[in-house]
Amino acid sequence: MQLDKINIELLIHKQLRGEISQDEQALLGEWRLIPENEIYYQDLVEIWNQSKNVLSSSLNFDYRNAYNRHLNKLSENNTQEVKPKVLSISLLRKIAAIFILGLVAMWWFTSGNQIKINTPGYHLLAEGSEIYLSENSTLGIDSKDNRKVYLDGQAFFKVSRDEKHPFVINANSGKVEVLGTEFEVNERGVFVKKGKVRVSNPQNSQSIILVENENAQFESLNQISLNDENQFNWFTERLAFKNTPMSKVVKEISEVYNVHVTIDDNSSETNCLFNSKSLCKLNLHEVFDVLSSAYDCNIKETSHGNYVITNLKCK
Amino acid sequence: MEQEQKLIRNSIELKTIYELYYSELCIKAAKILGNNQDAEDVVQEVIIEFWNKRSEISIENPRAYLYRSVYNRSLNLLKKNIKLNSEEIIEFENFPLESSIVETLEEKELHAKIEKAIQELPEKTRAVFVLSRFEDKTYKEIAEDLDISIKTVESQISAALKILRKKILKV
Repeated sequence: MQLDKINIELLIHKQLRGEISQDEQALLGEWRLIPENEIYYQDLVEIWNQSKNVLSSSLNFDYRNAYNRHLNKLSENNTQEVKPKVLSISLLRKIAAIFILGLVAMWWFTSGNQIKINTPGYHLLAEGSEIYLSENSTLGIDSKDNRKVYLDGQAFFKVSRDEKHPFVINANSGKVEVLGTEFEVNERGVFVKKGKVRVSNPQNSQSIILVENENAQFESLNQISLNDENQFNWFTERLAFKNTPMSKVVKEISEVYNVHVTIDDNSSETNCLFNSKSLCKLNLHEVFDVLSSAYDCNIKETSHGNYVITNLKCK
Repeated sequence: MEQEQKLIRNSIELKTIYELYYSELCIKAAKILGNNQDAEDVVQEVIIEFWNKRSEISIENPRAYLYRSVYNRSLNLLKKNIKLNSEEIIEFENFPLESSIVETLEEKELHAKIEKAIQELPEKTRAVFVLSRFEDKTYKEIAEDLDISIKTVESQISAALKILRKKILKV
């Protein structure tokens, strides 16, 4: 092979992909000795490296329209999968409220007309709201009004917004109505971040409207301002990382999924900083997918529940 | 009652599929196809098919299944597009050496230019380039996926890099 006959771009490409042979490598090295050639080489390297992520950042797709089209198709086909009518309408509602509901003690499910969910984890309700149910908790959805739910236990809610039709959560110690706002609830009471929420106590039919930065306890229904909103963030901050060293990320994943994840000794860079929105909706393998695509690393299960990350490289 | 419960559970599952996978699948398809509308069409077809088949086949890893289906379907469309746009590659004169990308362009500007330049490549050249770049395929895999020879893959890769650099440097 002579230098002027070879396909230099191809050699450079092979080099970039790590598929270059020793002979070709030597040839390329010789070619690069000429300063002009070296500039060209650097340009192609730059184009190749920079092009890796160009399209992902500018592309943005919204699933809602596609999902609605799919629902329409299903109802046209008139198969068993036809959805209750309320579905497609509610999907257009903007998700507007976030809150946590944690009500201990037993809840007596009075009416039989409920759809019950008792699998812990993430669920999407038919009318568009999302919940994350804790262990040993049950959520009942009123079969006639799917924005009326009954909770026994603890759950995180993200409620779709519908001003005309409040989302009502019943629990034995209190009742919470979402009026189109953002708020959080725990076993003691309610904390409102934005907007308005009505909290009532069914025992004495007392009710109270809370506004921004106020909280109330179900028992007394006294309004109190709350300073420490962090105590309510137990859910939303789970598996959300901001400049977190990988060693810590791995530790938290191990805790949440009850597994043992380690980084192998050859990956010296355990202090890569990881950034991510909360991964709490994903299952373990999806979380691994995110990590391995972020760092080009491999994750292997060595024995049951034990995982090792190899070849970790900071970017 | 049971029927209704099933309906609700189904719609929860279907929405979850869209929520979890739709956007990333579209991005994958769009990178391959170079066209957002085509990408969305492909992804929707795949999810509908997946949904209709879900009771007949057992799918252990839905993500992997959906990814593979989107890839295959995108490839089919890509092959059609290549046939429709079978323009010959213009032979490029030897590379211009008057300036270098590294010295002249800011990163942000460079990204925008690369993106545009990739989209403007002749369809076959673009196809070969994106499969190598975004799908990490080897020459052999690209040749098999697109039903072309390895020689063609090699010449297209080389052409792609040449054209990209030229377009990026052109003011």
